[in-house]
Amino acid sequence: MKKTKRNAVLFKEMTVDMKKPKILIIMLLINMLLIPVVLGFFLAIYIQGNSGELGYRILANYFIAMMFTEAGIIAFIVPAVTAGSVSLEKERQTLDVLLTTRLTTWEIIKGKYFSSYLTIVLLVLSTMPMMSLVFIYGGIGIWQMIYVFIVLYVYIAMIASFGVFFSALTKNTVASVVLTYIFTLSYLVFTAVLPWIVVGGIELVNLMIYEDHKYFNFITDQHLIPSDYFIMLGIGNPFYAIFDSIGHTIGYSIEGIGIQGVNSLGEILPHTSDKNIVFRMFTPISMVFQLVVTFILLKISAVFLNPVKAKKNKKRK
Amino acid sequence: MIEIKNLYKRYGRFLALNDFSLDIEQGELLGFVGSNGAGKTTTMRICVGLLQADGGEVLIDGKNLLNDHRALAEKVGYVPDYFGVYKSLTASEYLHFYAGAYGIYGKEADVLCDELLELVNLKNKKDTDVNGLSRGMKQRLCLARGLVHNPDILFLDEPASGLDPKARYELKEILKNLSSMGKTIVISSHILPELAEMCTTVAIINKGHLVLKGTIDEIHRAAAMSSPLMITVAEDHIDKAFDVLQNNLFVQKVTAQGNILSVVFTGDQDAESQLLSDMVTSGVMIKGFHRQEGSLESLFMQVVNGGSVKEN
Ligand SMILES: Nc1ncnc2c1ncn2[C@@H]1O[C@H](COP(=O)(O)OP(=O)(O)OP(=O)(O)O)[C@@H](O)[C@H]1O
Ligand SMILES: [Mg+2]
Repeated sequence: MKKTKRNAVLFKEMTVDMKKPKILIIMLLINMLLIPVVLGFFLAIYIQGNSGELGYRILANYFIAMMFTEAGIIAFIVPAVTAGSVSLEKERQTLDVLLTTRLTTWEIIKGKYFSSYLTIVLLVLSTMPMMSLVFIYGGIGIWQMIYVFIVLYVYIAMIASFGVFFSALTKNTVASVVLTYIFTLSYLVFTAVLPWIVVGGIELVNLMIYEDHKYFNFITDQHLIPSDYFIMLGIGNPFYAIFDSIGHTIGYSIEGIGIQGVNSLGEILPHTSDKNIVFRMFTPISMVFQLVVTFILLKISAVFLNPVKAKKNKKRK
Repeated sequence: MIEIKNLYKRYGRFLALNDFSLDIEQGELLGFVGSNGAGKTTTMRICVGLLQADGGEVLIDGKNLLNDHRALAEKVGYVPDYFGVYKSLTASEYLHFYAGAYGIYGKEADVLCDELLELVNLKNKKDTDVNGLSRGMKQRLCLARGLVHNPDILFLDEPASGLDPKARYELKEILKNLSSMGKTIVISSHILPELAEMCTTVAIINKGHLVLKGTIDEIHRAAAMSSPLMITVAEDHIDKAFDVLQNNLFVQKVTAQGNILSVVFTGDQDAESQLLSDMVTSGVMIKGFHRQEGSLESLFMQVVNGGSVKEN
């Protein structure tokens, strides 16, 4: 028997399932949602005029706003596309037969995952024309834009794996969709606040140290715990990565926000450590982190789907 | 070819398979019979790697393939008792998809799918949406799907259920054809007579345990044996007859109705003759001595209700 590298599940979904009009409707929807943002962008330029530093900043701000809007829309669309991927097979009773074929559960999961992923990539690509309207006024360079989109695609890769994971875990699609939405939202919120909770906690400690020492005149940086490292805890949050990757050109960055945040939290001494390189790596580290999460979730899904091994693990002692 | 050894399967507290063992030879067309809930589907799912047994093993050609997914998948085909459909696929696309699942694409797949559709008499339905097929056609399409990778062994779970006589006949012909190609086929059903028409061997499972396995001839013979001997004796010889019957090893149970004795007798025809001559030499006046016509249903009921009547 011939053994090709082609993934049958992926192939079927991309050739047969893509014929459905559903995807075009979503495409239209996502672009319509972006229209107000783009209009706002042009309105702002019209009012402010595209001149000097202000115009430049506005452009970048709008680009960030657009990317965030897009990322937000994606967070709502991706679960809808992915959360049924495996559970629908269970409901249609096609999974069993698929499992008896030569395909391994890992291949099935990969096929499901990449077909969902490619669908979403297609959706996002359809917004490219609108997004690139920013170019008319400059402000964002082409490489910058490509970089940001790579960050965006990594983000999509991760949240697409959430949906596949829950659909492999649950028996029905409704449960899977609900769980995926809850998890995606919780994940985004949690990773967004996590660094600030930690930084805030440390600053509180610092404040106490400061209070303790301020009567003796020898308080220095060394007595305080540098908290800004912990901004790096935000690597799990894709919005930070998007922000950081755009911000670098215009002087925003996670680092800048971090220092600002630390200062406003503590408002005491300048006690940030000089870890520029670490901060500059925020986006790449974040992307690696997200891809690792993706890989792990997909691997777990594959193990879970395997009837023989899954049972072995679950076996009661 | 297939050796199923001491399988156990529990669903919670319920023991669905209880020390189930069965040997299946190459080329056998085995009818796997049992009432609802006997454990047929459970056994098949374990054999094709969709379910983990709690004990025992399944050897195929002497090897335990349950942990070797690829090897098992190449070797066996499985057609479950339901028809899972993808929306908006034609019969041909349906087969192409599963061909792809075995790494068969392009021209090779086209040829294969045409051949399979031909084999199951669905060539004219090639471009019909699978949802638009009749039950019998779906069943046959599923069968074709199970054959996509040309497996040596085929497990069919209740393939004939819900089919009209014509469709059943067609299915039977296809299966005979496949069997003559040397494939080992296991078909489950809860109707013994239905299977007896098409199978070469029969295995009966009851409460998760094998109670009978034999060739179709043996089964028919067993069926004949399964009905009682009817012995009519002279009115005043009933007691004498009882004495003789009580001393016979093969006699399980005797019930009298007037001067007609109904004897559950497990011996073969030689034993029957022996019993007759014993009765005659003991001076019992015999007016009638015959076996009632045995049926597969009665055999099945007897085996399922009465525990094991081993035969091999
Ligand atoms: N997933 C499950 N959870 C709990 N019990 C189950 C499960 N699957 C099967 N059983 C039980 O195991 C027993 C055997 O089931 P199985 O499906 O193997 O029977 P069967 O011989 O195929 O019956 P049928 O002729 O109705 O298809 C039944 O009593 C059934 O209730
Ligand atoms: Mg069954």
